[in-house]
Amino acid sequence: MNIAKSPRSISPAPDEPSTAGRQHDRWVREVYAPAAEEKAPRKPFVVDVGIPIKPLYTPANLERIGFDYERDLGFPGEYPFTRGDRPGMNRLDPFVVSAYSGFGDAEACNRRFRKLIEVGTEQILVALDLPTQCGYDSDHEMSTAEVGNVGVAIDSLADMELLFNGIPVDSLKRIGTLGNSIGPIVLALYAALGEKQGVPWQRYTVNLQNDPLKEYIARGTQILPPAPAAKLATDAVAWCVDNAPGWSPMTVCVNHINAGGAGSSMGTAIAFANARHYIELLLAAGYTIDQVAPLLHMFPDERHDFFVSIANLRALRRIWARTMKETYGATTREAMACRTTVYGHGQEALAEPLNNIARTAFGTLAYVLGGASYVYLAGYDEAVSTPNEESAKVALRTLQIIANEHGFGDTIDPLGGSYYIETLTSEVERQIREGLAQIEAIGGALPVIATGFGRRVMTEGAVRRQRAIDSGARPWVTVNMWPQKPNVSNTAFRGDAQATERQLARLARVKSERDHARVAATLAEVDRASAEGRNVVPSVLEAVRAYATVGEIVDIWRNRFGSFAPATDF
Amino acid sequence: MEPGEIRRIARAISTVENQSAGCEALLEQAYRQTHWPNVIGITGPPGAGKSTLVDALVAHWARSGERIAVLAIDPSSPYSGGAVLGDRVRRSRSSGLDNVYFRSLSSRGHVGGLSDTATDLVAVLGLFGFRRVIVETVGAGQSDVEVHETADCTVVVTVPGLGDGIQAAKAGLMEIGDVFVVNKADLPGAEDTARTVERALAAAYTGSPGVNARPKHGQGSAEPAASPSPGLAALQLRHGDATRDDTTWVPPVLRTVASENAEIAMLADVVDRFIGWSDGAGRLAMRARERAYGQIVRALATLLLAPYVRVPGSNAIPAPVEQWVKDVAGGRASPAEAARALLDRSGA
Amino acid sequence: MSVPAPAAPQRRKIRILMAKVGLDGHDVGARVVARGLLDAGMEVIYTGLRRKPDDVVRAAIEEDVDWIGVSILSGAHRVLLPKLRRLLDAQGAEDIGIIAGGVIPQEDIPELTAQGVSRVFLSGTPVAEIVDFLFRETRHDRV
Repeated sequence: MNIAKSPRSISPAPDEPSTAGRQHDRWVREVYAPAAEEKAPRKPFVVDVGIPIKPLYTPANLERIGFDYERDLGFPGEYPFTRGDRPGMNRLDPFVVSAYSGFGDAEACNRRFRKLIEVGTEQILVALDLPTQCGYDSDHEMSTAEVGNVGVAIDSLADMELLFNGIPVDSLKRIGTLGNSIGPIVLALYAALGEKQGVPWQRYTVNLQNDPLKEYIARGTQILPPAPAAKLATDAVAWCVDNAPGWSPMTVCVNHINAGGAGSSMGTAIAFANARHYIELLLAAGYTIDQVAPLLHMFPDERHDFFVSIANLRALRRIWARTMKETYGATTREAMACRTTVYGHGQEALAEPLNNIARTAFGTLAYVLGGASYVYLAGYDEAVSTPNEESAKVALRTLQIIANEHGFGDTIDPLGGSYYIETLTSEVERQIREGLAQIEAIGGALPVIATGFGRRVMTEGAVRRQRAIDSGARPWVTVNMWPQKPNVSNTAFRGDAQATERQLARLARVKSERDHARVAATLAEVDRASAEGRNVVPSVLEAVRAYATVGEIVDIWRNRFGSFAPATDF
Repeated sequence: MEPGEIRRIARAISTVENQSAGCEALLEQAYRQTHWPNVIGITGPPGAGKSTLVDALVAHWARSGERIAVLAIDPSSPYSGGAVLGDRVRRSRSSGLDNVYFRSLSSRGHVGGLSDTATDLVAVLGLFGFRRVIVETVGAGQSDVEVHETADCTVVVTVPGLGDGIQAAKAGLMEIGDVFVVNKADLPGAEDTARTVERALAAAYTGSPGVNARPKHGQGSAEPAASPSPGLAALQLRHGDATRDDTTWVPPVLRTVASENAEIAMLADVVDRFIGWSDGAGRLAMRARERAYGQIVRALATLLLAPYVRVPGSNAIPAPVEQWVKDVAGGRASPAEAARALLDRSGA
Repeated sequence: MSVPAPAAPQRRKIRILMAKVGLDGHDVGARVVARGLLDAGMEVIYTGLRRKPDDVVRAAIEEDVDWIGVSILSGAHRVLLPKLRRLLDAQGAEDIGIIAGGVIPQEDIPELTAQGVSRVFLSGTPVAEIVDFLFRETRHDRV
């Protein structure tokens, strides 16, 4: 796998094949092509991001990309961080075994959390139900039939106290949630939760997704117009720089954009443009890149092609490091090293869901070989329902197996130097940079939303994927090979009527027992801070401490900033 | 409007759209009404924010309680004839209002920015008591110019950042606008875009935006042009000739942010002022005559061609033409001879 | 134009309102299906996200559609689909059919069918199957 000598010295003219190139061409002509002629091709050898895959990669490919070890790879924990964001990677500090979980009300969910911790979960990200994510209290008309369905209902601090009852916030490596459109509120809820438990902010770590811009393109929980939403999200980051610099209050996502059809390279470009928008808001607010960049994480995603996934993580780290250094003048390692959170998926199928255990394990292994820092793994039934207890446990055990068995993490960046991986990494990097140039040409992250560019690339990609599946070009066992009838189990996102009742009762109790004058006064201050463009987190924290609800705070913003009118692009 | 009435309106529109049984009788009734609705055309390139603007305008006008209809027209696929109609997505302020009827239409293969039944649909809506109809067109640029035949006031919408200069100018939209709007005026470059439009207008108009009285004798250089270019003649027909008419209209260029109510109110006011001026100057009536003439000619053409036109999607040549096709293709007759003979035989 | 065309060309198109009800914001599936229906020559009217059942029914009636296609992934189907049917029926739109797609448990399907949902297509159903169903089941003589 390793290269014998530095190819920098070779660099032949492109029209004049080197010895390695001639050898490769000879092999194709004399050995491979005659063998291939006798076989009908099984499928087109093109990955989801559109790169054609050759039968064999050799030193000739490295020559063609002008591979330079020191410039392109360097060493783990050092610029440009291609081989890893931290010095020892999984050999010294293994990736954090994480779980994303939540359903019903806080009471039901707390029981599941305790079980997850029992089997070795190191980080829990709370899945919130859709009303909470969209800023509606459980008793709102829009919450009908949605309370506790795809996550746990959180209306106020009272629910958080119950959710973490018996689970000290510092007993896990990180705790957190997505809260993409309600970032400052969930940040305040976690800060207030620590106060309630008597744990100072520097003794635990909160991680949020808090990436509203991708919601408009891909995920759909947007509340406000994009510009004020992005500003509020960066308030959460700024507050952490000032008060809890060890927290990771923003994880910028490729995940949903790729899953929606954009492909991992264009998805990475869009996410990266979003990250740049947040960073520039923070710089404009007076923070430095060295303060801000370490608090931002990226959430890459590639669930179709194992090797592209590895290449994507390596290319992403390289682009991040170079951009932070060259564009923003970052000076510290922490600011230039891109930390990554990943969620292991494969092409999960609705039929024979147990097969998804194998699919998600391979998808996750690719991320681990690519050097991810925080790793989640989808439950085998996740495509169809809130994961049951067994599937949640299997997911965790799979992560533990990848972390500890087979020696996957014994050496750092084990595929570095592979002809194939390095060629792919450079090709994926080129695709991401092309995507970024396209986005820059239309004016950056906000026009990606406003012009419908994001939606357009997603729809086109989704249709292309569907056609590849329908035609068999993208093989999918039990779907287009050995097809089986999908079987969605009875547990699928059914909701829990009793949990909804408990939640509504608890919300009513909180609303009647709290200090009404204090709630009104703190909410008025949230409105003032929002109107004056101040950081909203201090005022939101006061409101949350007074048991103001998520819906009450979001209503202030809805009134002040208006609601988002979505793009018509379909 | 009661659900039952909305349903009747919707069904009537389908009847015309599909040209199904009862269509002709319905239109005979519709064209005999006295209250032709005021039609406001909203056009402009894709991405200009037309739908959001329409939503805001409708919400504004609906406050008076009058019935308003929106016909939002999107292109149909040239391959399948199908369409994805997404204009409802932008509806927020005008959504759920009782006096607003919104219909998404596909151009069903018709080129020109409108559905080929758009004017018929306006007539039908008039029958149901709508006094104001907003027609939002596909925004495909050049082909959008047809909107100005149906509309009493055409609003051309553009936004900054659609390319150097103004695409609308290239697309022929400059010639059809009664009012111009630079939408998303809070974006960088908006003022430049507005100035570009104003400069383009200054080349064809004299006076200040809005209604202008004819300059008194001795003032200005109002020499009648010997023979204005066809483009200028069309503008003069629509907006008046400063050398002859008592009043003329110079299209204003408004800057709007569709989310700002004050700016929307101003746009609504300008549109109404234009319609009021057109009416007072006799231009609405003149336009109604032009529209009627255009429609009659097209109806006549359709009627005359009916026996000879292919069924869409079919490759078969209609029987009456078959022999002539062979003769022309075989070098035994000219197309004009064929047409003349077919027309003579039909007794027309 | 009101002039009857020769040999009655097929002007009528199948019209379907694609609706997202409830709070679920994932619409990739809806978009892929919409494109498939477009390719099959149908007119697809998209409502956008987070529509209330009342809004969807009003839109369906205004647009005079043959079908409402609802995409649901959040588990609210058991409440929202029957509600749509009741509202349509109450407004005299019994002839507008409902089809649903997304993540819906097998066990719930008979109940939904009994409550007036014409057909449930699970995630991953080839678009061609939905197209076939609509061509077969649409009442083409309706206006």
